[in-house]
Amino acid sequence: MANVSLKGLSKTYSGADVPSLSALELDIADGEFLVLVGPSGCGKSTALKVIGGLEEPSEGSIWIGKTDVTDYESRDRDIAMVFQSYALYPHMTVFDNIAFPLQISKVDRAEIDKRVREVADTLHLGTFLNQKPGNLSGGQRQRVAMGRAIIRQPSVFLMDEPLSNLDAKLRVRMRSEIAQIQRRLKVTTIYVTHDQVEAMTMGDRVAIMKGGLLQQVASPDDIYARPANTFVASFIGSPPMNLFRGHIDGNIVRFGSQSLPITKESLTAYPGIKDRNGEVILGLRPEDIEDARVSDDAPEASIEAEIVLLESLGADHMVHLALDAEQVHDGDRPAGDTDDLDVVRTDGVCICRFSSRSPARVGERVTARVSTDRLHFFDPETGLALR
Amino acid sequence: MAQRLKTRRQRYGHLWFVAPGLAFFLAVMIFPLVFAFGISTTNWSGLGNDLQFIGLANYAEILSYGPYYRAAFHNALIFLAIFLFQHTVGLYIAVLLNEKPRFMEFYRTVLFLPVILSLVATGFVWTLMLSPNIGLINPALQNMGLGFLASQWLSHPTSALGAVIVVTAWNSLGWAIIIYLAGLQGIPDELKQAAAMDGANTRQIFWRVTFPQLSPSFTALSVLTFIGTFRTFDVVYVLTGPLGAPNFGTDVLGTLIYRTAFGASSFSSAEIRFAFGVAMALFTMLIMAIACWGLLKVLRAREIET
Amino acid sequence: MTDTAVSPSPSRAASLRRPRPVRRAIGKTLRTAVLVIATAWVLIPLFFMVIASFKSVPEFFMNPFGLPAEWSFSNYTRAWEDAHLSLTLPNTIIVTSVSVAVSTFLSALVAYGLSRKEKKFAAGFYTLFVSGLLVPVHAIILPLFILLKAVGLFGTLFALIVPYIAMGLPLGVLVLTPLAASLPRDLIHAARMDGATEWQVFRRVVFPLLKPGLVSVSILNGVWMWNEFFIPLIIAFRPEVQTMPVGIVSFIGSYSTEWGLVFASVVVSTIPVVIAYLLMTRQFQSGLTSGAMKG
Ligand SMILES: Nc1ncnc2c1ncn2[C@@H]1O[C@H](COP(=O)(O)OP(=O)(O)OP(=O)(O)O)[C@@H](O)[C@H]1O
Ligand SMILES: [Mg+2]
Repeated sequence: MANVSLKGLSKTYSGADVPSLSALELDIADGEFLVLVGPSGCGKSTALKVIGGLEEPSEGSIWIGKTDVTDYESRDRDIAMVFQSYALYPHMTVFDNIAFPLQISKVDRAEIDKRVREVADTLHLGTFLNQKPGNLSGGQRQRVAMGRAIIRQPSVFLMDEPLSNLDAKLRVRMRSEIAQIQRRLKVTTIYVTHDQVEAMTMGDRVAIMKGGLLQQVASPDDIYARPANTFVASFIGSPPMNLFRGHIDGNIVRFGSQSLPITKESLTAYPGIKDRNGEVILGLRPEDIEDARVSDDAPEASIEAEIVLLESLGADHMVHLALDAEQVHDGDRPAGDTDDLDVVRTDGVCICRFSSRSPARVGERVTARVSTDRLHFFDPETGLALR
Repeated sequence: MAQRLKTRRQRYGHLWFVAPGLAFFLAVMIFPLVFAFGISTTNWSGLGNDLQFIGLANYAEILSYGPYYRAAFHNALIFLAIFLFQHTVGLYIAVLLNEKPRFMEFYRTVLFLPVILSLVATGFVWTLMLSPNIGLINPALQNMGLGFLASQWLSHPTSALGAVIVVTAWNSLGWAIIIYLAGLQGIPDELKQAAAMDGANTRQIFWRVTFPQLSPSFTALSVLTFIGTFRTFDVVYVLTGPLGAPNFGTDVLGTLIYRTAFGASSFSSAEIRFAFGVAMALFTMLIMAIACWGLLKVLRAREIET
Repeated sequence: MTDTAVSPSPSRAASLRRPRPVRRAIGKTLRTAVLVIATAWVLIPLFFMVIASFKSVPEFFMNPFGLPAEWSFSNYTRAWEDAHLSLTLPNTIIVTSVSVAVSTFLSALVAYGLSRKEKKFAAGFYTLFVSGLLVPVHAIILPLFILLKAVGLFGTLFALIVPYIAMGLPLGVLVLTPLAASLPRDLIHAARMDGATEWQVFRRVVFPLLKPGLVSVSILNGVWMWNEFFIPLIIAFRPEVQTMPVGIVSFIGSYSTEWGLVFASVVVSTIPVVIAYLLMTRQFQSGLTSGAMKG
């Protein structure tokens, strides 16, 4: 079947002076579901278009299976694509839209009829086959677009933000429907999104891009637990990871007036900090900080600070602690990118996720317990994880 | 499965889509145009084989050729009159139709009819209407007690040019309406509603909101009118003949070029100067191309501002 | 006239001072009056043309503008035979329909080819085609005549069809190119991904979506091709290949006082275009709305 290899793929649009895609190296296994995420304008759609043959790469090559398809026409690559705008043919009925790829390749009528009906059944489109796309709801159009892609049984699916035009509820439902369909068909899939929930829940692996450059490819858990650099660290996770300039002093890391011990686990996860005395960037996930009063055992490591803001979300509280440490921003995180929260960060604020049992109140000073086995360390110069 | 492409250029062979049209275009428009330019550099009369290469002498002659200026002046008058007419009456009627009055479809369809009528039909109908003996206009004026206004419409230079303008207006009103209507229908209602919420009255809404949005229609119509009136031939030919009677009072570039190149009944064949006529046609085309380019530049710039 | 042009807009309701009912009624009457006058101005000449075509010669001169006392069809039968309408009508239909079909189709092809803005050649070709609108027919008619004679088309209907096809292109390209460029790129991309060749993309997706523009172009080009007088006068003067306008004018030379006969032939020659226009008027309007204005 079809694994996809991108070898040094670059694309600079004519007239543009910066590449939209630089030296992309990516191997996608047969049947794998790879999610490509990144902020707006980072080159995700460009990558898909180049893979699909809608744009020519400036450099590099694309392999599907054992074939170099770089110079193939789109139609010869055996790839199907679902567009963000759905791109349904407005002058054709739903039936003809779904049947179009088969009609083009001159499959006989009876066979087309049978396959369209099968696909329509899977996607619950049976009753709409004679409608024009203009009369359908967003979710139905989305399904027609899916139907047109799967009917060909291609060896690769490309999906460009297929859910971004749907409302929140429908998006959740279609998310699992698409994932199920992909698991059943076992077709190699590259799925573009800028929604990190989709990225974390749908993919076998997640590839994160920024400014045309691949930042990290790994399983969702790995991406979350071991981000390759400060960009990935602050892009994935909601609210994002807190990053502070710190200083390693023997087996203690200090940031502002706070200090935390460096544990065995930290040394295993970040061997780069061994014997490193000096500047680092310290990363703390909000989930790894908890009100000390909530847990029973005595805190082995904690920070102490004043609560400047508290937002209650029911299940937990978002607590903003004022710290005197210098905060690091990875400026590329676009505003409004977080799904459930839109956090405005100011210098010296550490966001923590306290459980709802916490009696924390604004203005009080709290002791917050930090899970020291899950600290993150990055090089202050390069932003790379200290591995 | 697939054929590997020899070159990337072949991937989008869109030139092939242009090729058939281009072939026709080159053969029927460009080649004759080049040919015609060749003719215009000679002194060929159009008859016989007597011909000499005279370079750009024909073009030089145009510059001091009185009838050319006279004809161009008449074209300019017609253009101005039609331009004003279309952007006032035409626009107003389009605005009225856009309010969806009763019988809107009927009005719109009828008002466009003259556009699709042939010059033959237009010519005969208006010759009849304006005819001093059996026409409709003079008797009507007399019945209204305005008999002193009755006139030999096509026999006085001023009223004949006026008649040409009226018939041209009759023939082209449909264009103005349909183009402005297309523009009006493209304006979102929210825009006007928002302006109304902001306290604008209907007059202000029209001039501040609606009219600026009509810029593309204004541009398209102005350019069309310009091209149409400066190429006008049929209407004049049918109403007042190839001489632009009376006494060249309605002579336009189209009739001047026509009778110079092909002759008119009262012209003796000695006066036919085909090469000179062609030179005038090409010269006019050049001037019009430049004018259109300038017109578009000015109008487009205005569109961006608004 | 201009000043009164500023009282439109359906959003009158939002204005604080509503005009009083009397003023509104007067305004409405005035606006209706404008429409009625304009319509009458257009319609009255046409009406008298039709009326006159049913009158005999003496009746016409007795009463040129009244209804005919006796509706006579003799003008029509005579026009049909003596003016050779039985010959020139089929010629005109063939020439116009073939030219319109081919020219519109070629325009659509060109428009698709040029609508891909990233191609460098597009802007230049677009200007070239559109400036065809300025080419003076008087200047090119003789070279055209020579050319048609040289390739042996002279004396056949193709002598008109071939030039008409080319002369329809400027308008076709002008209207259709912006329309094709405004089609969502994703649609074309989707068709390519679905396995379509460039030709299939055009045939199955682009061409059907250009339909409103195709109708507008067909009507606009069809009308002038149907009515064209000068080109066939020079190129198709032989009766077998004559089209109606030339046929009528050359026939009328000898009967010019028989207005009834003249108008009967004019009516016959006009009716087909009017019918075509009436059938397609709605699509015609929407094609103009979406296409030409953006060019
Ligand atoms: N046809 C084009 N010509 C020139 N530049 C382009 C073109 N298409 C995209 N770009 C540029 O390339 C960069 C990447 O664009 P791309 O569409 O791939 O972003 P994206 O990651 O898909 O963003 P989004 O999430 O907003 O869809 C952008 O800076 C964009 O401006
Ligand atoms: Mg995108």
